[in-house]
Amino acid sequence: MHGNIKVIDELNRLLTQELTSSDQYFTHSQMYLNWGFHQLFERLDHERVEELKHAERLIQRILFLGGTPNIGARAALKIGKDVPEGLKSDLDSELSVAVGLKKAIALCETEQDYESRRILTELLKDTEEDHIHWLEVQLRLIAQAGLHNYLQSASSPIQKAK
Amino acid sequence: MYVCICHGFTDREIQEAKLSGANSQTKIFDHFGVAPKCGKCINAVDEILGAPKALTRSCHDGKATDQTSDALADSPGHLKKSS
Repeated sequence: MHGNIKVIDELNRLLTQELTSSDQYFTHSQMYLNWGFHQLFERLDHERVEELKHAERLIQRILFLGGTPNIGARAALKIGKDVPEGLKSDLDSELSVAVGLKKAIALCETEQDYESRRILTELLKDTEEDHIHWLEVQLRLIAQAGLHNYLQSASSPIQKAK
Repeated sequence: MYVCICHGFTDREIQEAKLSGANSQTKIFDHFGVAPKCGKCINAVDEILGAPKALTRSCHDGKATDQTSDALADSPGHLKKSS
């Protein structure tokens, strides 16, 4: 099937955003693991896999429409120097993904590509209700409980000697 | 936040460099003794310096070359080195 070139270009732009988010989660999750915040590592590792699943759906759709998925492209990574900075930059990235998705959904509507539109609506639901919401909750917890308390709840239990 | 992930310097370090007289993109990179590598931070550096956006390719146009992806693939190692 031959798809609309404007839709394919937009899907490729979204693919770059999803792959960039995945790399960013990967970097942050490994930093948190290194600092001993195991709970945060686990959650971000899950987000990383979810972003890759989003990328997979976009790649499948681009190929189906007869386009070439641009796998190598990345936007600038936003890497925080500490936990609050990391969470804030991940939130920034997710918010721009949401903006990109909405723009793409509007385009799919105009070009009458309703199946791409359906896929993107599902990605938007994950982005808004899962990723953005979780990050906002974490930043609110830091503001309300204090950074030290938050970090304690995010850290790993102290291991017993073997 | 890290601005340049190839060389691992942060927005705060750029602000400090700015205060010590590094008021242009070139001077910032000279201050850290490095040359821009993947080029993705150029706009962010300019933004911190308060300069108008550089007339370079946008970081978000999704048309990065393979070379830039390679540079990014190296970044975690650079981050570790810098800390």
